[in-house]
Amino acid sequence: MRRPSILTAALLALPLSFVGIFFVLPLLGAVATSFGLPQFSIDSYRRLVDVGVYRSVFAKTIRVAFETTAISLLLGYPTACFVASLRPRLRTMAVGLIALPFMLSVLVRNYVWMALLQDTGIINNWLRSWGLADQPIRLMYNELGVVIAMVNMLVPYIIFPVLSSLLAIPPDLRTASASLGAGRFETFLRVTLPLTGSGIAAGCLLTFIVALGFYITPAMLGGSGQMMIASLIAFNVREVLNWPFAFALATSLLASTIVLYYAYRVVAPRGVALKAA
Amino acid sequence: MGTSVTRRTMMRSVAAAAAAVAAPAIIRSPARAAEELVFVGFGGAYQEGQTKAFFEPFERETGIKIVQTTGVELAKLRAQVQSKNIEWDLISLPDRLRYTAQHDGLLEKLDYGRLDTRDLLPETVSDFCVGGITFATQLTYNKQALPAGEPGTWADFWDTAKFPGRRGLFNGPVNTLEFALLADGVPKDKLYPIDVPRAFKSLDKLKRDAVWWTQFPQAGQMLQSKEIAMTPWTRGPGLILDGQPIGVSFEGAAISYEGWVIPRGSRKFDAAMKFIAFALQPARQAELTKYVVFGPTNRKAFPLVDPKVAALLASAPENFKKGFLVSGDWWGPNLTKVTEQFTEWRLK
Amino acid sequence: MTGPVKRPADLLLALVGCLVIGFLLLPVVVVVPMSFNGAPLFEIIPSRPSLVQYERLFTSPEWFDVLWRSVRVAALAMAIATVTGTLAALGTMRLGTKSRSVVEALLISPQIVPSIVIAASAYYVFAMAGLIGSMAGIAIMHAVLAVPFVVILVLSRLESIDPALAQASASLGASPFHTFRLITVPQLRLAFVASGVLAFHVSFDEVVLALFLSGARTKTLPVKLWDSILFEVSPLLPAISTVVIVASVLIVVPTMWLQNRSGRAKGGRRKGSESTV
Repeated sequence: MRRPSILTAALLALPLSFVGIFFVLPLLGAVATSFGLPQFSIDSYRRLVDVGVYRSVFAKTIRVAFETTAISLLLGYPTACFVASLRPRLRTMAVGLIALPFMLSVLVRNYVWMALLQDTGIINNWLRSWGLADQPIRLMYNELGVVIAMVNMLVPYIIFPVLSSLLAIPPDLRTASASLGAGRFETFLRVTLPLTGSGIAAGCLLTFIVALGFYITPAMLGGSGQMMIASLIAFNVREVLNWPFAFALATSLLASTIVLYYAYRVVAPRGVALKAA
Repeated sequence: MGTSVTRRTMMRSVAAAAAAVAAPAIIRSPARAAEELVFVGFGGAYQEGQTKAFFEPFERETGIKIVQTTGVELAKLRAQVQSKNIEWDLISLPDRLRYTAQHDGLLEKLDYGRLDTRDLLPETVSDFCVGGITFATQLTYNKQALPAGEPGTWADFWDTAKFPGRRGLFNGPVNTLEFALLADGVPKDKLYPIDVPRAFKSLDKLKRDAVWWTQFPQAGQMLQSKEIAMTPWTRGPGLILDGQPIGVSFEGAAISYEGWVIPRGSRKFDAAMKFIAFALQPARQAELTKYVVFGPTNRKAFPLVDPKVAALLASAPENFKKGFLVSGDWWGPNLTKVTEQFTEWRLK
Repeated sequence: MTGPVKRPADLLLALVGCLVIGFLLLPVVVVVPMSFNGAPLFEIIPSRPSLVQYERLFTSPEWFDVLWRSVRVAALAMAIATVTGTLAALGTMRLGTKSRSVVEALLISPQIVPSIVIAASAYYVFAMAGLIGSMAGIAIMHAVLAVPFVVILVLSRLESIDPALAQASASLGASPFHTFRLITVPQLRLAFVASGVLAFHVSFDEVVLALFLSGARTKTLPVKLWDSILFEVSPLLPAISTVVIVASVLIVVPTMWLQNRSGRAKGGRRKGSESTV
């Protein structure tokens, strides 16, 4: 595209120096610590690779993040379509309702899910009183409960970007498509869906990244405390004070996520620019 | 003219005299008013109890004010020590963290010349830490969930045939492994060093019925709602289970302690030592038991404690001998490795 | 898109949309009855209905102080993050593909690295700068955490904007600044608001950095909540959550209503997808 101009530099100066001082600098310190500075050693990284349990933990964390992102997309996309189809006034209200749960802290939410999902909780009580189940259905202390709670928190991260890109589509396009003979579903598939590509991609990226950092919810609702990366990192930083190893874990997490991000950038469509007719 | 001069002179000399009398107070009091100690604690009812039993009486007696904050984090302590920016002067540190803090050079050596430790539990006295309270993690059960009778030992806990119902377990190896060994028949005095493979074999038997919790209130909540029939639990400021049909057994309880420590580099070492000496007194420790069910480390405190409360305390003689003292010195160097093994075991 | 005839597909979409939104609101709804409990337990149907938690909350100045402090920190973090993130997005848009990927990766990294790592490694820098215990310091770090959200949301929206509009505006003689103000900015509104909400939430609910960077006398709400939840079950938490939710609704609803009114005054209700949010 264009070569970076003074305007670009001016725009980026503040954000980059802000992130540079308050994030990159400390992060470089952390990476240095993970390499054993002032000496140099890759012991921490070697341990990461040698001790099998860390690979399992990485795998589990990434898998759970993928699953919850996929489910959130499945639930969030249609919802965004629905909200986009509302009259502006109702739409504003819907957006407000979707944003409202953000006011709830993670801890309180988990206790709410406990009360709802446990064997002696409300959902199982109802199922039993309606004769739908003899035995309580295990909704908690397994992955199902964790997924339910995580998806509940992540769906808005899909909805906002997708909604944003849906609203960017000029309504005339659909009319034009219809007048060219396309049915509603075909219009959706060939016009709407591709144009929301960047919204979907942004939403999935956001959701995935946030899901990677979850460990409180899996710990409380799934009993899978140390089986998520963030939890292990916290353990090493807080309990055993093994900062080189903790930072090696963090650096590896960052590195693998950046790799995934580049893959996403190659595969996912960049915003489709509408060409003038 | 003579009179006014005299009066003025007299006024001046009175003023001067007054100043001379007041001066020491004026010079001293800013220093006095500035004498503060920053204590970091765990908040909640526990810290409220510490305030009434320790901090307020201490300030009344010595004039030294305790500024309170919460958020005991070893990582933050380490960051403070590393950046030479010590904010905390006094901490009541659990034994499980003491080893790591000590090992990492985060604590000051205590001046035992100023402390009377004759009546204290000897296991809680060490170079960098002197025990202040004890607490026990014990078998806790919901009577209503167990019609067959009440469990007493960890072997009972492991016996899901005789006592059906799900079991809560802390999602970590500390104490969990010891309980597994006790259930498997290992005698209390042979617990350490821990036979880790044997402990995991024992835990295998309970895997199916286990519900792994991470936070104490969670376990209490689950016990009350009968989600689980029993769980190891620490009774502290948690009055949560009062008035509920909950029973406890001291048999095989894991007893641990919190001790007073001073961060390395604190500029208030003197005041902190003064406080520690104050807090170790029997009357003070007994006072704390009015607010939280944490046992004293000072033997002489027991006669001063309400007998009904004494029955609940970990360090009360009858209870203390039924349990075992958790070894912070074993867990210190082994925590990382055993936690890895525990995670591995759980992932299977 | 408000057709007079509702086809089954529309109804299905509406059903799915409403169900999902209901699912998202479930914890919010459940938390309210939980707060009216005198028993120290999390029960959806309180065993001992009472107002005691609210009494405690309103007669205790420390909770109020802490709540108010959290609001101020979150507001400051939101301001810093939205400005910084938007500038970053605008600048990044103009970069060539390669440098753009690098800069993007950099800007979203703060969400990938677990906050405990950021906290532990940033402490040194903050101690040197004397920012420990200052609200501004916490707000700055919260803004750092929120920037990734702002960048992703604003960037994704920018990519969907039809460049033809800007070209048309330029060809009609508008200066770049005018074009920006009158064409780009209105289209960014939803992304702006959404990222502001996310930024506020990131700060308001954040524990770890707040824990590390707060001083003996400056605490945020999540930190205080974490302290009390460590040992005790208290319906005080749901009570606080309820108050926060009610407060959010009371602030947001009139604001949106006012905005709707001014939107209408500016030129009638617009049909189609152009959002007034």
